[in-house]
Amino acid sequence: MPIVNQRLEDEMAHISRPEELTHIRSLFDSGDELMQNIAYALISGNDRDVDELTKQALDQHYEPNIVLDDGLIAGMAVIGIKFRDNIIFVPEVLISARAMKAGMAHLEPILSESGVEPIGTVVMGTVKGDLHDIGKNLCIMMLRGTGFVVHDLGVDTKPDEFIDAVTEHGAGVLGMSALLTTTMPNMGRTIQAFEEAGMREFVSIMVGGAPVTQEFAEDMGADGYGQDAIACVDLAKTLSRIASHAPTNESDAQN
Amino acid sequence: MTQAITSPNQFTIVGENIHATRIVLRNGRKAVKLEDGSEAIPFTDTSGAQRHLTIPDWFKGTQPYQQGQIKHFMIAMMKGISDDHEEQEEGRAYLHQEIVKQVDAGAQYLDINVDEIHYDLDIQKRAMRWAVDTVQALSPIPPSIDSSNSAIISEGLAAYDGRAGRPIINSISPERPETLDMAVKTDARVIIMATSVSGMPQDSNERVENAIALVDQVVERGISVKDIFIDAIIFPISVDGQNGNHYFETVRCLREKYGDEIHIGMGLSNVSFGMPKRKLINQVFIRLAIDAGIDAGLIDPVQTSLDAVFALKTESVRAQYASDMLLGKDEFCMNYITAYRNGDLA
Repeated sequence: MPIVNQRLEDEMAHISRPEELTHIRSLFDSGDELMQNIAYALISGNDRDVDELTKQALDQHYEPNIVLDDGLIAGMAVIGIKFRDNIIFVPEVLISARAMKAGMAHLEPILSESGVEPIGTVVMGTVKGDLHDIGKNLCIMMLRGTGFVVHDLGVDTKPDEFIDAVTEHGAGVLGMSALLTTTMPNMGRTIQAFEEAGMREFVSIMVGGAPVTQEFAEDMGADGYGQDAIACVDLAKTLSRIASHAPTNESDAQN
Repeated sequence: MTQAITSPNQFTIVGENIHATRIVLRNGRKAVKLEDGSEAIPFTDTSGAQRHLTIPDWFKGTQPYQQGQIKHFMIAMMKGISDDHEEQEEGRAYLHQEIVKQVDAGAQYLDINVDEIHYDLDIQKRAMRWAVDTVQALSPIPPSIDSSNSAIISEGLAAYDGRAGRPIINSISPERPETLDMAVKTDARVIIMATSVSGMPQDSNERVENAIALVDQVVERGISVKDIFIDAIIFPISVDGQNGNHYFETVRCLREKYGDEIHIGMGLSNVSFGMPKRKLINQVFIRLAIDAGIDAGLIDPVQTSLDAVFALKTESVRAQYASDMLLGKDEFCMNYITAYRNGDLA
């Protein structure tokens, strides 16, 4: 339904790109007022409301994946845009992530019991020699908020550790981060290591971090470059779609 | 008990602006469109002439440019190492006016970091050599050679002839012991990071332990305690409200242990990452850090004046919001952010 929660409607004023506004409104189309209330509670960072409303929705027999998609994830999409456009700041993203967690605490047990597949599984880490992780952590938060299962390898991750984690978790997507120009080449070396291990074709690789650019990402043979946390989520969605569709299944390719 | 420093001239400023990462916004007030439609960054050279740092075509193809950013020192460095004589002169003139500004504002060292100029090590080395050559030819103060790659540090040290006094190596860390050998060989002063081989420290105990272990190593090699600058490592207050307290506690412990001789401080501006009104946060943070015992920092003295830090009215409403936040009394920084939105930090 169209947006009936007035405070959620007020949030739409923050979305300045017309195509994004259309997209965000479409996310609320499939839900009802309760879902909008959950989304607004998440946007405003109210973990108690998210907790209560999510519980209420489940008591009223809403499907858990509906609550996830039309409530929590739709709200997180607004947060992503507001953060990118400097309308909100890092602490507010953390507060909304905490609210997300409050909702997920109710949904996760049911989702895993009912065997609902996550959108995708991502392994993330900062490359060898690099100890910086703020940008990577923001990406992980947004990815989890979007419904991905994310395995975080932390900082200073060696090529073997990336390979082991991708194998162990059957991840379709690998995300690597570097903040330093001098550690950036370790992304290329990690990709090389995947090739040498005969693993490259089984995983899509995305890269990001301050010194990384699209040109450099292509140069080192990555499948994609994400400039910020939103771009990272969009990229992970695209890449996991590729990962989950075998190459023989061309007619099935979306978009 | 040691006393906190009480005036700006007791603080060692390592001017941090000669970095390939530095950005000017294309639509900001520091960039202009010339008559022929091209873009440039205007500057007054040291003879007083109005000049322009022109944006080369290669830079227009890059992503930062397309996102509205001009990496001006990257451009000046690239011009400096080009084969074209006029370009070289333009790059040198641009660096020269920056050197003069930093020195006039009180910098005692000039930190040079070329890492982001290119990912090709050869270009990085050439840029470091050029920047050190230029700094020593044009400035009365020594360089601080800054890189996350010890091969680039080595290149910078080799280019410096020592005429303005001993240089600083930024930095020595446990994961690259070769930088310590370089310090011994070139008689450089050293910045040490309170990290360990296992990664970034979580709390003040870990920072203090890391720093003590490294100070021991450095002193064992014959470097005097007064030539050591400890970077106590500040993480953004935006990601954890206790990050300020971890830092202040580390500084207090280290000052207590080593007394007045050692230098403590270094990287500071990271504290305000992800927040609005960064300049206010930085100023209040430096003030609190000085009270805890720092006496040195990597700062841009043109932007962040130590005089302003010492003159800061700590009881003002805006300073109170910032200091409460930095002292861990503002969960998720929301009082500060709300004050910002209400215009109370203006």
